[in-house]
Amino acid sequence: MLDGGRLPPSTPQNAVGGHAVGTSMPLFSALATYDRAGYVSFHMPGHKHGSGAPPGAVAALGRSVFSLDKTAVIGGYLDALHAPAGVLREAQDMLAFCFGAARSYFLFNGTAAGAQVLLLALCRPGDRVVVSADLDAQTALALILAGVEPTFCPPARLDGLPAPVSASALLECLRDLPRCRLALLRGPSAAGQCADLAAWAAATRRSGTLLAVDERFGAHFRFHPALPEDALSAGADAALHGHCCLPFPRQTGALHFGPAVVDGPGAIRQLDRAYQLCTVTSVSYVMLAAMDASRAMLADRGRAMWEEAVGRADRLCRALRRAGWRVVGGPGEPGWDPCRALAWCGRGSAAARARLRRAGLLVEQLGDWLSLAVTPGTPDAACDLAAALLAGGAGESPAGPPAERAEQASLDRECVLRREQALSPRRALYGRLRRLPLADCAGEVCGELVSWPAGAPGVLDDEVLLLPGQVVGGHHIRLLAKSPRWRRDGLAVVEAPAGGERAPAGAEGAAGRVGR
Amino acid sequence: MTAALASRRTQYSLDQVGHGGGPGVSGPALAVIGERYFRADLRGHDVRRRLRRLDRLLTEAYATGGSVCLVHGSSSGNHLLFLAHCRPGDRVIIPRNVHKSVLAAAILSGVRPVFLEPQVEPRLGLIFSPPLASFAAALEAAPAARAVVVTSPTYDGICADIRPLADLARRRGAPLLVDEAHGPHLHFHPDLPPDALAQGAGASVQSSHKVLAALGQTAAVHLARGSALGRAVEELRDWLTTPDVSPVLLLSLEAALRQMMRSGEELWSRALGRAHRLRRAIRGIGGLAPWEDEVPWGQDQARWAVDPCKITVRVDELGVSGAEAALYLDRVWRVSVELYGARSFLVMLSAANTDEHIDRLLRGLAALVRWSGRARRGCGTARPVPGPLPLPRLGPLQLTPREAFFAPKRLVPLRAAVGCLSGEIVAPYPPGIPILIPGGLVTAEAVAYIQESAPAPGEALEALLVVDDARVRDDARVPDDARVPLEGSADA
Repeated sequence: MLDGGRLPPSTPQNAVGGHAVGTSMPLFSALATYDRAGYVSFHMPGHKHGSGAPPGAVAALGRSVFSLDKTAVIGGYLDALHAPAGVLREAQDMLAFCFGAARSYFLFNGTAAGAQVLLLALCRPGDRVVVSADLDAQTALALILAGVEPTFCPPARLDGLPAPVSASALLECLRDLPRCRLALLRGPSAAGQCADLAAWAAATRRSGTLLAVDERFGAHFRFHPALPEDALSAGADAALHGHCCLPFPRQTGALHFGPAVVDGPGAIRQLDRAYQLCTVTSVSYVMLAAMDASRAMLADRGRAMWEEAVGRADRLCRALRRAGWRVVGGPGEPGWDPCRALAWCGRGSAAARARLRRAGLLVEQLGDWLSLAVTPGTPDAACDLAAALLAGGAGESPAGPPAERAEQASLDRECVLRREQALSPRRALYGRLRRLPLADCAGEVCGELVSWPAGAPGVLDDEVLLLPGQVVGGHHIRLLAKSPRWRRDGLAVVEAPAGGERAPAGAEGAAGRVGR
Repeated sequence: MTAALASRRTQYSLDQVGHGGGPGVSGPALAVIGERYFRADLRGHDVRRRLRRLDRLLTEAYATGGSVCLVHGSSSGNHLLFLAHCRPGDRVIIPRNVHKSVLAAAILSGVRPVFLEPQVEPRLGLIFSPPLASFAAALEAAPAARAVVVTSPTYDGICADIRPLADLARRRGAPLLVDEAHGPHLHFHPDLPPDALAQGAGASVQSSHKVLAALGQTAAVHLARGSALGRAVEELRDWLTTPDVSPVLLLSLEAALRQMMRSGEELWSRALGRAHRLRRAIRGIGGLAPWEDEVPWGQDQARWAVDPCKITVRVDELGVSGAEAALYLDRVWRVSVELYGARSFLVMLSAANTDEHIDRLLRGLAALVRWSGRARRGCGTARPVPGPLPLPRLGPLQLTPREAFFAPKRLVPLRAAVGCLSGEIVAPYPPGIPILIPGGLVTAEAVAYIQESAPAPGEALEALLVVDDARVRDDARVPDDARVPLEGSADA
């Protein structure tokens, strides 16, 4: 008698053949409508639409954040993430449509969750995968959870900047790896250097390997013809997006799958199950609504937004070059994200970053470089301010060769990126381990996951130094010896590996194994 | 932690935050969510240090042997504890009334679960933990068990008697891991049931946002004093957590903790007063009753503690089902209750509920009684409200959940799945108890339950992923010799 009731409509305004083309915001609208309906909550979360929110947090964040912070409720108005059938289903479909994917998922734990879903959905324990060697600890953990056997493909390097894996390096890797299941490669690099996606796609297709692209630094490519081609358009089977290049809040992102792996209801069910395995049940509806609204905006005027952003980046790059900076990237430099300018600062990069920060400009430092990323959220005023602050500052970037210290760091990094994996990370981690003094570890097989010591120059947050199963080299020991913790505790090494999880036979064609 | 954390001057983002703190946000989102959210979201630097600071605050607030904060829900806390403590092949004793994320943790870690059947109160379908004797028998049968898991409080606010269970588990060398998602407030008032660590549990996972005033997805893992897991838990938290942690969530969790540390006892005193008033008023309304008045029940009945802020209201004497009553309150009175069962619904109070909230609920309940009377007269007679479906027994597990998750599978019509090994978790809601578990045999009883428990005809799960076991049965199993023996123990 009370079934089927619904609060006022959340139907897409622009539906074409039942499929909304994009400018409606099903989830966002449903949440806003529900919020306006003035419910009294005897439901979680505990702040009850903000009525008990701490005053300090309300002052900092605003009342509406708490008011909108809801979860799946009785009545089904807000749908449920683990069984989407209403507004969430619609929002997911529209996300997929917007990014040219066959199926897409919202992420609430950023790229960490994305890497887990990707590997658990597409791989089985014991599967061979190729991974960019400059991976973060979250991706490394995902490799451990999935139990796969990774081979690491060293990325190219340019003046201390991370670069994507080259096509020839990938080909070489795949040649040595018959029946490789998946290549998970980062492109563009953290510095905005683009990958040769066409060559990646061709190489993986030839060897029957799935191609998943960690596209966290190129999630915007789809929205303007002046931007490089995006991974899914280039033939990738999956693309992983973070928040950084899209108007999404931090900690969000999206995982997109191409048609080859979304092959029938069995495959879709398996993708859904992998997603649910790695995703919290009560997600933040504020994040979800912000993503839904942003997606609608991208569908509506993504092209105009990036038209402006590219224009601003162009003006910024010109201004910096005029001021005598050595600039890499930016519009007009083929193979680079046109929305990004990298200015070489030498040893002065940390100081320059701090100076800009004090003036209210948040920029990133990549080793000896400052990275200036222009997004639709970067107004003209920001670019003008950056140009003005850096106008007289080229002097603090001695245009000479890098200092000895940086050279050593760069050398260490080169070594680290040539990872030699003796065992699968999972078998090593769960093997019989013993702890050795650091000095005795050379040539041993590492039994734990080790991040780069904090503050290492030119290294990204959470980048992995050693994976379980990796052969420890002298350069690792040299790096770790600088940290009191590792000097004191030594390193866990593998005495005997754990037994393998045998890959079940008859894998091909089963629903548990989606795709080719 | 005040407005000082909100930016005091204009900040511009050239560091890859696509919304730029506001300028890149869509108009509707900016208007509805508010600019302050996006400005606060710019402060993303130095995340690791801020996480550690919040860890220390949690440790202090709950007086634990070490705590870590989480921004991806208590689900990730369950994953974390399993990964930190268990190894592939370990036996872990798990009551079946656990949250799905515990099963996910079993899949990720590769453990061999030993499932225990919970006690189900037959009239309302309330779920109680298995009796102590079941845990004892399970530990007897699996002496090398690596851990014992229990959910307490349950969704319904029923707290298990943790202490004897923790003692039992500890004597067997298996720490008790408590999914305390619904209990982050217990520590802050002496009249609330004691929390798990206070009763000797080895570790607990709490969903801070569920009861405290923090935003969605915030959670915590607590370790008992002297726990050896501290470093593993902290490292795993970092590896499970995205590098782009939301500063908004961290800020809200910190503010909620400080609120509890400063005035938790006072706030929960008031909440307990309101809960008491609400209970008394419900008793005064004919045909309604809080469950604990009606159904003292269960093997350990003297030992159950109920979180006074969770009130399960029986409505079947009115001739309406829990769903009808909950939807009536929702549609007509705009009162959102937590969940419903066959003959009851659950009201969850927190320190944030006001007297006005209680008044509206009570007016709604009085109207519900009148409305049900009219509905009854319309039908002629008072119809009996069907009770909860009896839970089918869990089919025996023939593969570990991890083996089944990764095994080749096919999608078959639900009816045709009988006799196969399930490839997925099926837990119809309410009550959300797993009926099928990956690797478990699909029984006819389970299929009938899934079909009958569908909210409407045709809404039942139509197809099920099953293990393609003709090809798998022998091959997918991890050979026993490949498992790592536990130190100093003969594995059962």
